[in-house]
Amino acid sequence: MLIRLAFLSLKSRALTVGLTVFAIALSVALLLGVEKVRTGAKASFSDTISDTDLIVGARSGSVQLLLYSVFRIGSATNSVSWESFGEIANSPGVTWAVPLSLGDSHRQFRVLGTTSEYFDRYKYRSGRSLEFADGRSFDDLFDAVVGSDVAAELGYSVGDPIVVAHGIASFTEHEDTPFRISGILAKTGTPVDRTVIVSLEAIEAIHVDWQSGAQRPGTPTSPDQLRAMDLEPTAITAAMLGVDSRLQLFTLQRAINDYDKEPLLAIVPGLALQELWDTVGIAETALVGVSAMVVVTALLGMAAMLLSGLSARRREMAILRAVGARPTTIMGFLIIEALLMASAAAALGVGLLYLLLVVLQPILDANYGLFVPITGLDRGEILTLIAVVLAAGGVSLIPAVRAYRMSLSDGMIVKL
Amino acid sequence: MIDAPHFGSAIHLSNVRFSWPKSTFGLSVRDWSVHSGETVLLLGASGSGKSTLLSLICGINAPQSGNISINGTDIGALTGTRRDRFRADTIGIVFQLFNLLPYANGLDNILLPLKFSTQRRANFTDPKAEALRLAQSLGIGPDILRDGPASNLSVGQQQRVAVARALIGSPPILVADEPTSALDSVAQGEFLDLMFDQVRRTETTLVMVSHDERLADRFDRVEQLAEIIETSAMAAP
Repeated sequence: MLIRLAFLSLKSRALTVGLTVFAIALSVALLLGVEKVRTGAKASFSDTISDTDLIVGARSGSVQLLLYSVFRIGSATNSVSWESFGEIANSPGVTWAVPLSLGDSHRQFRVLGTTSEYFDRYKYRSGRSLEFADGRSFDDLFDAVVGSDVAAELGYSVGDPIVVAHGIASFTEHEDTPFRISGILAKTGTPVDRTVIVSLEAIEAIHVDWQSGAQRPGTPTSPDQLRAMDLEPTAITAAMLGVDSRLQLFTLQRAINDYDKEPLLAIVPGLALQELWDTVGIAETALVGVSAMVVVTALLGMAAMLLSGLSARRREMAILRAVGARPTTIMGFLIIEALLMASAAAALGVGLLYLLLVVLQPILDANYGLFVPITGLDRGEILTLIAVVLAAGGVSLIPAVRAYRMSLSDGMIVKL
Repeated sequence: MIDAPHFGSAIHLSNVRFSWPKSTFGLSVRDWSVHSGETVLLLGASGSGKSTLLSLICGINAPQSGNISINGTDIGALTGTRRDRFRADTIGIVFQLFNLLPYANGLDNILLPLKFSTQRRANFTDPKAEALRLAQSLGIGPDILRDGPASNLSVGQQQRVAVARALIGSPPILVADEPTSALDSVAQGEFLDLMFDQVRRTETTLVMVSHDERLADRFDRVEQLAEIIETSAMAAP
């Protein structure tokens, strides 16, 4: 009955109560939303590459190597010689090795030179393989496979010609070596979507007539001549490795890091991803902190609203006292009001959250490659909601104690 | 005025001294009692200490010294919590104005004391039916009770609902603080007729405060507040 009365009392102040509840609901939606985006961001981040045991590149920082080899951000300071790659690929324990050659671009997209094994070995989202939405892997020297974003943004379909530029963001395009699109990959949500993939030999081929960044004078080598040439590369940018067992992984990593013919670096992608996330994650934690403060602000607003309403409600309290309510019951009445408001706000906040997720999910995915899955509330989120309601009960002690004091001192005399 | 020593004492105050905390207003009552089933009118202007006296009788405040005995219980000796429960069980209260929780409907208001008194609730199996019956006998139909919040009722209706609330579950004592002063004279008479009907039928002890001497002939006993209580503007000893 007390709960019913509290509900009726709140209902009679619908506008103030509604605004207060809405403020708390917004803050709750914000807090849960930030947490959802954070979890989504971390998941799509750590899902970028899986099932690759080691990434090998020229010696630099592990985060830098991860950034250019996996995320196509920045560029390598140095390369790995083809001999070293061969030696590493044939080391005991190495089950597979996929070379990666980066440095060229097509429009705003990076070009990756690799072997067709890349399509089998590159895995994301806990072991998912790349799939072709259309066409197939490269067959011919001038075949190119493009990621889904490349195809979508540039309107490519299988069979279209494509020109690959030398160097990143360069205007000197390799017009004399026309590539043809042989396949388009299905959307992955990884940087692969924004990559043009050709064979390693093709990367060599487009550089045959080029020296030091300028085209060699004379007749360009014809595509057929190029096809007949031996196009074994002299160097690559990085390599992905698979090994037999976890045990060999660290032995091999140490061996590569101690490689004496050139300075190399081998990283375990999972660990490097974690290291990178830890750096980025500070901002995310700050964001969660800020949204938690917004919740606290909204709850304090509620306490202030209850407090400012008290003097207008002295009569109500005198009536309750007259029919036998204890001062502690009056206190409880205010706490129940706060708990009711916070519960309503939590429910409304969850509703707002899912509404926002449904509206924003495609926008985030399309514009930022950030996929926020719409899932039920997990344990942590339910605990967060419970904490918000309990915190509301906590801050309501301020007006509740004041009401307690007032009901003790007023007696039956109420100054109106 | 009936002097009936064979009645048990419903209210007895002796050597009571009380002063409000942080206030210089104090009050003392040497010896005053109301017999069980008696109807008493206390005449006095506002500011004469009537609200303080009623607060003490109802056990909302406890005296600094002296003895207040209600139905044989020394309520000064009870803890605050027990005093509140005792009040819920024993006393129905009607104020001058604004008796009802404005957001709840009339029925909820009448049922309110039963929330705090198991003793009064135990008197019947169907509290709602009893509330409707009581309201009906005070001239309030069931539609009025259920139709929207109490703030929609007229003052006369509110006062009758307040009496129904004070009387539900038959508490032995009814305390009324100027319950008719907001009513016109016709409504006043009607209101008092209905209230007295109920009070006489259940043999409830009635203590009513008013400044209106014209009401006097309805009561067993009429007293001047000034003759019962001594007020002082100085701090109580």
